[in-house]
Amino acid sequence: MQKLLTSCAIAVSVLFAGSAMADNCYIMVHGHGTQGNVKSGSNQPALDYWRDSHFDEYKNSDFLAYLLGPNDNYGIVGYDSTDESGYPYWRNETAGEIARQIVAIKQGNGDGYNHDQAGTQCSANDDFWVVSHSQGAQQMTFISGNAISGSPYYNVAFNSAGSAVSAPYQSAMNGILGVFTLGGAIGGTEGADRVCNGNWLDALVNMAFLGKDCNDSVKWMQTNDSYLARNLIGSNLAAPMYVMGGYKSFPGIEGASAGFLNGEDDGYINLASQLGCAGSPKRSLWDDGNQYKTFLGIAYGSPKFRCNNSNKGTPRTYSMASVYTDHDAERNGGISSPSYTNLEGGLSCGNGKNMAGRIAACTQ
Amino acid sequence: MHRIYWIGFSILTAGLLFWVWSPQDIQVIEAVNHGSGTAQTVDMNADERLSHIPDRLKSNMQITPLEKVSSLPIEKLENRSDKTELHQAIISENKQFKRYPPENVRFESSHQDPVSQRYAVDERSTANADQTFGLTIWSDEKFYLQEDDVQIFAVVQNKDGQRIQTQIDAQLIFNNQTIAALQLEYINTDGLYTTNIRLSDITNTTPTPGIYKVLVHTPKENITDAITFTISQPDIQLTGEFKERINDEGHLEFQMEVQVERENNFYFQASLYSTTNTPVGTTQASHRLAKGKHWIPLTYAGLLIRDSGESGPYQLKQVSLAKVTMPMQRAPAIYPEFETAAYGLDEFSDAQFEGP
Repeated sequence: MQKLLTSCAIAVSVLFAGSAMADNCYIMVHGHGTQGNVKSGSNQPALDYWRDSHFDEYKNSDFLAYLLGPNDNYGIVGYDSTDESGYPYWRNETAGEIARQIVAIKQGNGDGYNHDQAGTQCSANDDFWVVSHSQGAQQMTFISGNAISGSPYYNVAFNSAGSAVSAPYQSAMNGILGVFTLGGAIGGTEGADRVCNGNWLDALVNMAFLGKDCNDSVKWMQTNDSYLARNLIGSNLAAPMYVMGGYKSFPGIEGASAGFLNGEDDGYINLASQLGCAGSPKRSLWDDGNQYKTFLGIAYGSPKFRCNNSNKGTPRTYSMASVYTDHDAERNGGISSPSYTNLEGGLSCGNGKNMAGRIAACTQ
Repeated sequence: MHRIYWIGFSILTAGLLFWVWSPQDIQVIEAVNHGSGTAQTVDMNADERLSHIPDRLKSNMQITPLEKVSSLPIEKLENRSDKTELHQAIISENKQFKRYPPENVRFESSHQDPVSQRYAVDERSTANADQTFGLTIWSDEKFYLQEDDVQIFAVVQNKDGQRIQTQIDAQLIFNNQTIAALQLEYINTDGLYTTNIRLSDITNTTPTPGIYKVLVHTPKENITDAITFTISQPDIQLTGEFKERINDEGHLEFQMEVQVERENNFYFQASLYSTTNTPVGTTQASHRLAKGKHWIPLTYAGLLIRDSGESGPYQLKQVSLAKVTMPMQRAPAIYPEFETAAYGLDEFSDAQFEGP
């Protein structure tokens, strides 16, 4: 009997030794235009978001292939971000749903998706990171910014009647080590401005994947301060936010989409918004995160604005990287080794890798 | 993925050790197990653990360095032996974050003041497609009361930065519906277009609270942009009565009295400066309040004040009151200029926040 107990003790202890080197669990929060509330057999839009592509150049690319190391896990969060439903980021169907799913993933309940990679469901003692793209970053700003007692919408989302309902933001953010944003609509997107103000090119609207009409979801992604999540949060975020920005136009339509956006952008979202800069999210930022005076399109002199860690529009927000990547490749890893531009105060771990590879290099 | 590997490894190891290990060896493993189970640290490195294992087993065993174990995520990072640049950054950031209660934020420059940022004018610039002309538009405030005047400004510049006179069309929009066409007057001396809006005159009624948009278009240069502002009915205001003291914990505590017109949830933000205008920090609170008068406590941690390096008196410089609806109905910024007594820095607590 004593030997049996001994064996059990040993087995358990070795198990705990394993958990001492906790696995990473990446909680994936997708962006706009995904029927993420659907999950039926092989129909898994929220999972497919990270391996679908709008451009043939990125076909068969998979964000998770670059992200996951041998000991890593992930959990997919799915919510309804379609134009048809038109839910703003503060709705129970968006922010509330995301928070509830994060809680479930952190409890080790699994995400309910069929992972191609065996044994990659998260467990309760993993190290938790949130990876968010596009509207997902706006969602996480609102959630994290209302997860601290004293915040304006502390643990509150809104239903279709406009009534406040309970949402577990604090529980969702508890224990999250960091939130990564990729091409995040932290300050909205000028694309949404143009859709709502009626001067976006129809061809681009149909080609791109962000907002075909000015429904409430798109309306609340305009760059006017009145709509921004930063205007609807408290003085602090519950977890630090590390921002990565892309500055490459969409393949095949270079100059068409980006030409309509101020400063550098990833084809759809201004770099100033992606990097969470203070002030106007459509300020003309260069790929080094600075704004300059220009003459004939050439920057000169010292920066007149530096989007460094002291000049963010949201608290606990930090520059991570500026990567030559468009909005599509950000979420599917379609460019494996993009070039990059150093950001003041940015991180060098993962330099030369795509956004997924950077997260992997910095967290593993 | 990792878990399956460990379960398999554990079973094999347990089976092997079942037959060969002596009781004195077990104590060490139990200690490790106990440490894990209680989520506390275990101060034993790989060499120490190896020294407790019988020699006859060592040649066939590989010991992976056992990290100190903790259930707190940040402690797990701290105990890693192979920290990345990001891990280091997160550990450092967390130390700063945990320095004060989460409702307190320290800032060193007034442009980082969260209250200032929320009320800063939203000036927007847009260029036409070939970058030969630019339109800049703004309003004098971002939040107005229902009876307030809203002033809109616009400037059109050529590529040399000179302000030009041109045609400007503008319309006022609420809930996706155009409610008025606006005429912007050109002020020749400034090269500035402007108009003054009193919403109640336009709608012939008290304007509905919410986000209003002014869509501006210059047909000749083909530039379009819009500004937005919020009409608020905050249902709360300061009475002008304040109290202040250093509380029993050594923190600076204000009490400000408010008059509530209608029960709701309300959000408060207030920034503290020294009277020499050196920033100290900001605090926040939210409460559900019934109609009537209430005293709202606003607390600034002693360490937050000490870190500013500025002795008193301190000034409650900016206060934001907001009714928590969607959208949030902030009252225009309030500058109470209420000053504290001339406290010395050493009167405040230097204790770090010890929350979760």
